[in-house]
Amino acid sequence: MKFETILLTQIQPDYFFCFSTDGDSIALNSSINEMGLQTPLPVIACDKGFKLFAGFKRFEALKALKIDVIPCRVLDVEMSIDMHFANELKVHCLEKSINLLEKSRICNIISHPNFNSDARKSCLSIIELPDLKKIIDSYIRLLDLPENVQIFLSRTDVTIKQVEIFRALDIVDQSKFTNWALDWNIRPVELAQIIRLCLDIAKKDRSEPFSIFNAVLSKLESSDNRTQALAQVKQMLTDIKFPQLTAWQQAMKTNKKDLKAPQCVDIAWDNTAERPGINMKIRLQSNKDLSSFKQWFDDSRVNNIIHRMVES
Amino acid sequence: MQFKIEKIIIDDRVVEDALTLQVSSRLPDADVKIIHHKELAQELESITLTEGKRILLITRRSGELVKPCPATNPPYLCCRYTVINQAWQCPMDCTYCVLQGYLGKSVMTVFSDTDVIHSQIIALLESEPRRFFRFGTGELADSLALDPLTDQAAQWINFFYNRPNTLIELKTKSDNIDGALKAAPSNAVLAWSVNPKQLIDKEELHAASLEARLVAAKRAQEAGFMLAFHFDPMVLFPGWEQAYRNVVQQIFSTVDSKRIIWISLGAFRFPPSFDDVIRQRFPGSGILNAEMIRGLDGKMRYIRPLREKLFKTVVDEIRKYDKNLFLYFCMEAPWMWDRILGWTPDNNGHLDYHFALSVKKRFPQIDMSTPDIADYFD
Repeated sequence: MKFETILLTQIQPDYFFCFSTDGDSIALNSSINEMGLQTPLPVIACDKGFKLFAGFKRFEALKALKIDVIPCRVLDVEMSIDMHFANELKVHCLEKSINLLEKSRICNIISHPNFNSDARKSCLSIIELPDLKKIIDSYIRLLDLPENVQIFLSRTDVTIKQVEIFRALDIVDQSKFTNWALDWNIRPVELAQIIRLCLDIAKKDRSEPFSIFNAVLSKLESSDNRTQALAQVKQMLTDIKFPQLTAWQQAMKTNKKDLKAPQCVDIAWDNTAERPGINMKIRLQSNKDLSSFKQWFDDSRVNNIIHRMVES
Repeated sequence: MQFKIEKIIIDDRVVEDALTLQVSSRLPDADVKIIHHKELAQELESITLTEGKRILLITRRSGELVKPCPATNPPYLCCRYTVINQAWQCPMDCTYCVLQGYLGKSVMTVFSDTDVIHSQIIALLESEPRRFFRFGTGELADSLALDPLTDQAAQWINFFYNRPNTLIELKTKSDNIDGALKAAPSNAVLAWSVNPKQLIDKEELHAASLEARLVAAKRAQEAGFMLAFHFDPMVLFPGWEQAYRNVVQQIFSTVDSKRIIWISLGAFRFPPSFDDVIRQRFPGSGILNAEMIRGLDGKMRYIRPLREKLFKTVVDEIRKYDKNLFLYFCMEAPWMWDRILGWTPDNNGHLDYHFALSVKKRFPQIDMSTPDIADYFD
C-alpha cells in the first residue's frame, strides 16, 4: 500500500461495493470543506486508472466540492478487490455499527457468484452471520422491498424475521403501512406486530390486510396519545383475531363485576385461558375485613358466580 | 398412496449392508449416488424439504437410536413412550407435520445398523426388568410408509415376538401392512393416525385415505394384531364436530373395539418458529387460522376452551361404543384429563403405570409382570 494524490477524473467508483446508508452529506461536505479529507480514499489500480470500492460518500462530497486532487491509499493489486473490501468492512465495523439494511446490502455483495470465497467468509464473520444460504437469502430479500420501507426498517433493531412479515404484504400495502407508521411515529417492531395480526385476520377472513387495519383505525377512540392509540389498535386487532378468547375474557370480566367482591379480595385469571379457574387473593388486615369477606363468601349468589368462573 | 423415490444416496460405509442392497434392488429406476460419509452433510445441505421427500438416504448413525419420547415440559403430561429412531422423515407431506421444523431440511433417512438398535433395546429392557415398555418407530418417521422397500415392519414384529414386558407399536398413515402381516403378531400393535376425510384430503398429502387405513386396520385385526388409533393432531375446521364423530363411527363399525389397545388424542400444537415453515411451504393451508396461544410449555396450541370442546366431542362419541377403552392425551395438562377423562395421572410415571395396568387387564395373553407403581417412578 502507498499513499498518493490522484486526480478525481482517474478514480472510477465501483458502486457494486456500496452498502452504507450513512447519509448526512451536508455535514460531510462542510467537514471536508473546513478540514480537508481526513482519511484517504482506498483505491486499487486498474486498466483505466483507479477503482474506488469504499468511501463513496466522501468521494461524492469531494466531487460536489469540486476538489480535483484526492489523497488516496493505493492498495496492493496482488490481493483481490474482494479481500480489500473485507478489510475495509472490518475497519468500518470497528468505527460504527451497521444497520439491517447495510447488512442486507453486504449479503447481496458477497453472494455474487464471482465474489472471492475467503473474502465472503471474512465478511460474514465481521457482520456476525453464519454461512447459511437460507439466512443470507432472507437478508437479501429485504432489498426487494420499496426503498422507503427499507429505510424505515433500518432505523431500529427490527429483526430479519420481522422483515419477512412486511414481505407478506403487496407493494402498495407495504408503503401504506410504512407511511402510517412514519406519521404516527410507530417503531418497525411495533408495526411488524400490527401487520402480523392484520395478515392473520386477512387470511382467515379472505380480506385485505390494510382494509382490516383501516376499519380498526376508524373505530379508534382517541388518537391524541400515540402509546394509547397503539395499544388500542393492537387490542382491537387481537379481539378480532381471537373472538372466542375475547368472549371468554369478557364473560370473566362480567362475572367479576357481578361478584362485587369486597376490597380485601383480588380476583385474577390466566388471560390466555390456558389455566382454568381463578386466583383469589384475600388480604385481611382487620376483623372488619374478615367479617366482610365471610359475609360476601357465604352468599349463594357469589358462590354460583365463582362456580361459573371456575368451570368456564 | 402416491409418492416416488427418485434418488438413493448411500453412505459409503453401508454399501454392502443388506438393507442397502434390498432397497436398491427394489428401486431400479432411482438414481443412486454413493457418498463418502464425511461429505454427507455437505451433500444434503442444499436439498429442500420438498426435494427430500423424493430422496432416500441410507446411512449409519452413531449415538442413541432408542430413547424416551422427547415429550414436552410440565405441566403437560406425557406417557413415557420409548422411541426407536431407525428412520427420519417420511414420503408423505402433511401440512402440520412437526418434522418439517424439528428436523430441518432432512431427506428421508433410514439407518441400516439394526443390530445396534436391537442391543440398545435389550439393554433398556434389562435396566428396568419389571417395567412394561412401549416402543414405537413412528415418532420421527411413518412406521410403514417405506415398508414395501425396507421390510422393517416384519423384522420389528419378529424381534419383539414373545419378548416379556414390552410391545412394539408401528404407527402409520399408510395402508402398507402386507409386510407386517407376514410376521407373527404376539407383541405388536399396528396403529393408525386418523383424521376426518376433509382434513386428510387437504392437509395430509400423499397419505392413505381414511377408508384405506381402516380397511388395513381390519385386515390387521383379523390377522391377530392389536390395534391403536391416534387422533393426533386434531385440527379445527368448519364442520369439525360432525366430521370427527364420523371418524369414530367409522372406526367402531369397521374394527372390534376389544382389539384396540388404546386411543390417543392430541390437539394441533407446534413450536412458535414452525408457523413460518407452514406458511412458506403451504400458503393455501388454513390450519393456522384458528385461535392459538403460546401454551405453558412454549408451544403454540388452540385455546383451552376450544381444545376442551374438541376432546369432549370425540371422547363422548368413543364412550358410546366402548366405555372401557384406554384413552389418553398426548401433551395435555392435568386439568384437561380431569375435565374430559375424569381422572388425572399424578405424573408421567403414574400415567405409564396406568398403561401397563390397562394392558395387563385387557390383554392378558401378553407376557408381562404385574405392574407395581414403584417400578414406574421417574
